[in-house]
Amino acid sequence: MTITPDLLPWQEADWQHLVRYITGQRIPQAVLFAGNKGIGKSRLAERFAHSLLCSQTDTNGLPCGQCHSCQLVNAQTHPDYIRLNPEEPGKAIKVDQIRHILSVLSLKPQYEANRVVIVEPADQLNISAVNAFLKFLEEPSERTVLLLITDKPSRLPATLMSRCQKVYFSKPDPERVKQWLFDQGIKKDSELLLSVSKGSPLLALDYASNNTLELRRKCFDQWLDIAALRTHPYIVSEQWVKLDPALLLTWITGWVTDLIKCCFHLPAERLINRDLFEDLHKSAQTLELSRLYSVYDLMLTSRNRIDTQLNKQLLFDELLIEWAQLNEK
Amino acid sequence: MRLKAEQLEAALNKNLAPVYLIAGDEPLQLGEAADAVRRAAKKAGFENREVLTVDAHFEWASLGESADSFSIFADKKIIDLRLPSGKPGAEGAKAFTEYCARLPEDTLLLITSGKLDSASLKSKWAQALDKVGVIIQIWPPSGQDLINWLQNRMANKGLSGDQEGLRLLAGRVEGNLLAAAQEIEKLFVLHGPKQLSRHDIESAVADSSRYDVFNLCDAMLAGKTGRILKMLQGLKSEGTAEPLVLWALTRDIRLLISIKAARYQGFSKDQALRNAHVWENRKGLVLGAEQRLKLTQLNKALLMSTEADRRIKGASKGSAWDTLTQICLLIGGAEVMAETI
Repeated sequence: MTITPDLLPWQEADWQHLVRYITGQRIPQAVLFAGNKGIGKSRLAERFAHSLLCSQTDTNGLPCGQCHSCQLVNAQTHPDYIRLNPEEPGKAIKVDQIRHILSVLSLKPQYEANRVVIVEPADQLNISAVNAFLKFLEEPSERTVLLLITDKPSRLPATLMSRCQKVYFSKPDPERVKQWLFDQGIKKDSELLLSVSKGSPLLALDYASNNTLELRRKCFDQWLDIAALRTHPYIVSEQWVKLDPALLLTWITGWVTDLIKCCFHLPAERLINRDLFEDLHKSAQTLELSRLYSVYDLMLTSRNRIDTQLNKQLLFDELLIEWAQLNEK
Repeated sequence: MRLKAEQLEAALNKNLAPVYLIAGDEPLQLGEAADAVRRAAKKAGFENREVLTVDAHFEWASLGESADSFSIFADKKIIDLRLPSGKPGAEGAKAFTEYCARLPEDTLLLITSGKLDSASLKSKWAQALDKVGVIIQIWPPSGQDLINWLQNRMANKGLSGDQEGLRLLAGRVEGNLLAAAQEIEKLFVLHGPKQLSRHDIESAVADSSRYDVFNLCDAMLAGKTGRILKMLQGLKSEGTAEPLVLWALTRDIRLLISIKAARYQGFSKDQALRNAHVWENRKGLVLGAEQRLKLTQLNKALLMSTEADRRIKGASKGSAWDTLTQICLLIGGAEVMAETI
C-alpha cells in the first residue's frame, strides 16, 4: 500500500512542471510552493517529495513503491524525509527548531536518493529563523531539496525568496472544480462554497463538511446586529475568538469588500458573498464610502496582526467597534 | 466555628479548640494570630511543637503519624502545619477529614495557610475543620478600617494622632501592614508615648504602600484620580506585568458595557448586576461608574486598550503605561490627554 497522495484534477500542469525537474535531472535546492490556501499545495509537495526520495522513479517521475526508500516513506519512518512545522498551530517556527535541523542536515543523507525537507507554512518562520536558514539555503549539503510551502508569499523576506525556485499555483478552473466537488458528494451550494473559499477546492470541501456556511450566516447576522445597535461589539467578539479568528477575519474582510462593491452598484454575481447580496446592498446604502474604506484598511492591517502575539479579543473589539461607529451616523 | 481576627484573643482566653485554621495573604495579621494561638497553647501546657511545611514533596501521611506518636518531652503538643498555597489537594483534604474524625488527645493542630477561595471554604475538609475547630480568615484592612486599625495599634503603644495624620499614615502604608507595624514602632522610638502631629508622621514615615491590580480597578471605578495615578506608579515601579494590568482594566470595561447593555434592554439594576456576577461589595462602585460613563466613552476605552495591547507587544511605538494611565483616567472620569488617540 502506498500513501503517496493522488493528483487532483487541476494539478496536472503543475505536476508535469515538477516532474521535469526530476526527469531532466536538474533538481533545484529549494522550491517555493506559493498559492491560495486550500488549493492542494501540501499534497503536491508531498507527492513530489515521495518521487524525490524514491531511488527508482519510473519514466513519469512516479515513485516505484517497491524500493527500500518507498517502503520507509510508506511506513512514515524515512530518515531523509524531514518536516518542519510550528510547534503549535498558528505559532512561529522558532530559530531553535532551525538550528536543530541544520545540525542534522550538515551530515550526508542516509540513503542514495535525495533528502527532502518540507517547511510549512514558510511564512511562519520568524526573522531569526530565516536568517539562520539563509546560509544553508544558499549552499545546501549534497542531494538535499527544500520544499517551502506558503499561502502568503508576500510575507517572506526577499533574501529567502531569491534563493528559491518558485512555483505559483493559480486558481483552478471553476467548472472543473465544481465537477470535482460533485464527485466528492457536494451536491448543492457548490457555486457559493467556491466563491466563499475564493476558488480553493479543498477549502470549499472543508467548509461543506463542517457546515461552515451555516456558521458564517450566524456570524453575519451578529455582524448586522452590531450595525443595527442591537448588540454590543464586545459581546460578539467574545464569542468570535472562540471560533477560528483567522477565518472570521477573512469573512468580515469579504463582507466589507462586498459592501464597497455594492456602493459602486456592482451586480450580485461579482460579489464574494452572493447569498448575502440583499442584506449587503441594503446596508451599503446608508454607509459613507470613505469611512468604509478606513474600516477596510483596518481589516487589512489586522490580517497581519492576527498571527502575532496580540490579544485576539481586543483585535476583534477594535474592528467591531469601528464597524458599529461607522453605522451610527 | 468561624471567628474574626479581633475575636481570637477573647476566645483563646475562654477555652482552646483542638484545631485552628488561620488563612489569609496578609503576613502581619496572620503571624500575630498564629502567635496568639501558640502562646495560649503554651500556657495551657502544650510544651512541644512540631512544624510541618506543605510543599511539593510533602507526605500527607506524616500528619497522621505525627498525630499518633507521643512526645517524649511533654504530655501535650502542637502540630504547626504550614500550607502556603492554601490548597491541600485531594490527599491533604483526606488527611484533614480523617484527622477531624478521630481527634488525637492532647494535641492541638494549628494550620496557617494562604488565602482560601470560597470553593475551598465550602469543601468537605473545611467543613470538618469548622465543626471541631476554629477557622479565622484574615483580610487586609482598607479605607476607614485601616485607619481604625492603625489607631488601635498606636493606642497600644500609648501613641495617638489626629485624623489628618492618620489618613496620611494610612496612605503611606496601605497594603503593607508589616511596614505599618514597623513605622508605628519607629514613631514610638522617636517620640515616646504622645499625641503625634501630621508633621511628626510626615517627616518620619516613608512611602511603603503596596497595591495590586484589583485595587487599581476599584480606584478607577470610584473615579479617584489621585489614587489612580499613585497606584499606577506603584504598580509600575514594582515591576507588575503590563498585560496583567490591561487584563484587569479591560475586564472591568467589559463588565460596565455588559451592565449598560443589560440596563438598555430593560433589566433592573439588581438583575443586571446579578447577571454579570458582581460581588456584593463592588456593586456600589460598579453602578456608580456605569451611571457616570457613556457608552461612547466605554467604547473609546476599549479602543485605547487595543492600542495598549499593541504597545505592550511591541507592535506600536510608545509606552504602554501611558496608555494604561489614559484608560484609567478616562474611566475614572478625568479625561485628560484622551484626545491623543
